[in-house]
Amino acid sequence: MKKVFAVLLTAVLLLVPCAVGASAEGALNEYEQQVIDVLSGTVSKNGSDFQIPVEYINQAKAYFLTIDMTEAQSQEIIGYINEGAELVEAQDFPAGTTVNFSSFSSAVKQELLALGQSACEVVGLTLTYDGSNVVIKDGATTVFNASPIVKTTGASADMTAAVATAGIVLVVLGAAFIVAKKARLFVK
Amino acid sequence: MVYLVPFAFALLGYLMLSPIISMARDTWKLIAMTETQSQAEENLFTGKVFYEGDTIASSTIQFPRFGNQYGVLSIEGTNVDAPLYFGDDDAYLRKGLGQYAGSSFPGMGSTILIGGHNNTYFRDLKSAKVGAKITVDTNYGTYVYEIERMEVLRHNDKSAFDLASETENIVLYTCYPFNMLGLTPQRYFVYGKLVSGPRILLDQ
Repeated sequence: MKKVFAVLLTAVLLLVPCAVGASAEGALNEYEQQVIDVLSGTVSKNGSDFQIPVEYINQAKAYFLTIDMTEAQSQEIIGYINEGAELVEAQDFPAGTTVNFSSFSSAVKQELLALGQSACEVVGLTLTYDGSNVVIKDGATTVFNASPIVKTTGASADMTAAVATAGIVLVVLGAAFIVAKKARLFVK
Repeated sequence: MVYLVPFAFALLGYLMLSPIISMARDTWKLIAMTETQSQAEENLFTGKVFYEGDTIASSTIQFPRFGNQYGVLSIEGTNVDAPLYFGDDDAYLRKGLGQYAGSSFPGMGSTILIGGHNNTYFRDLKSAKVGAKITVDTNYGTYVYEIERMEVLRHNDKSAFDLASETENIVLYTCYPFNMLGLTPQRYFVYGKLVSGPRILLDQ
């Protein structure tokens, strides 16, 4: 479900850059707030409630603070959100099931991704989905990322892979040398 | 059999060296990026801002986008004094501290989540003490937080912080143990409550 709504969120973010003369500064205007309110809503299905994760909404809010949205854009964006929500609601899951993007059929996944991708292309944003993560970019600039919240922030993040790999290479080198020597490959 | 050894070695070497090559390539990208900064990597922070009001209109603030440095974070009694970026991708964590983009900005009344590497910019996070001040100088004002507690938790512990909090607070984290060689599932979290700084009025 998280990935689903992440895709839905893309439909939101997609249309935002349509704003002519978007300002890098800005309050959260009423139209942006309307979108935030819709994103913050709850969808009930079979006794389970589904919500877009707050971290996704916060990313949308952070992006909205750098642009200015018009009423027309807001209404169109909300339309996209509702369309996606209807598609999700149409899917049938047993009560209490934890639903995420992978829970849907391939056809539904494709439909949701196509919705997001098409909307992205209209305004020059790109949506990428590698099977586990959704990233939306405005050119080279990321505007949304569904990656894990807490990152790897240790020395291991930079060095362990290299050190371990170097160690393995040395072991392989040593083993290759031993084998080659036993096979008298070095004999003149 | 012996003729297979060099082939096997070459194949293993390729597979094993790929992470190093990838890291070298990413490092080169980082070097190249710093030489030709795109707008997304613009530094919004040009020095300490002295703002005396209790509130600040959101419309007067230039909010950062991914990759923008928009502040500096320092911790009293430690050597932590580092650039603060919006976004916490690897590229930004190599240059400073990274605010998780799904968390709040200082002044917005919720949780600010900031990560940093334990061998660089958060190397001395371990020296932080309860009661010490965390100062976040941003491009729109200065915020001070007081450290309340520290905890060691798993990286995916949902109780570690609340991104929907309606009380402004700051959460700093880095990998733990600090000197462990290897990927670790634990993080060292430092929690602070707001002491001072202008409240952002999002509707103005």
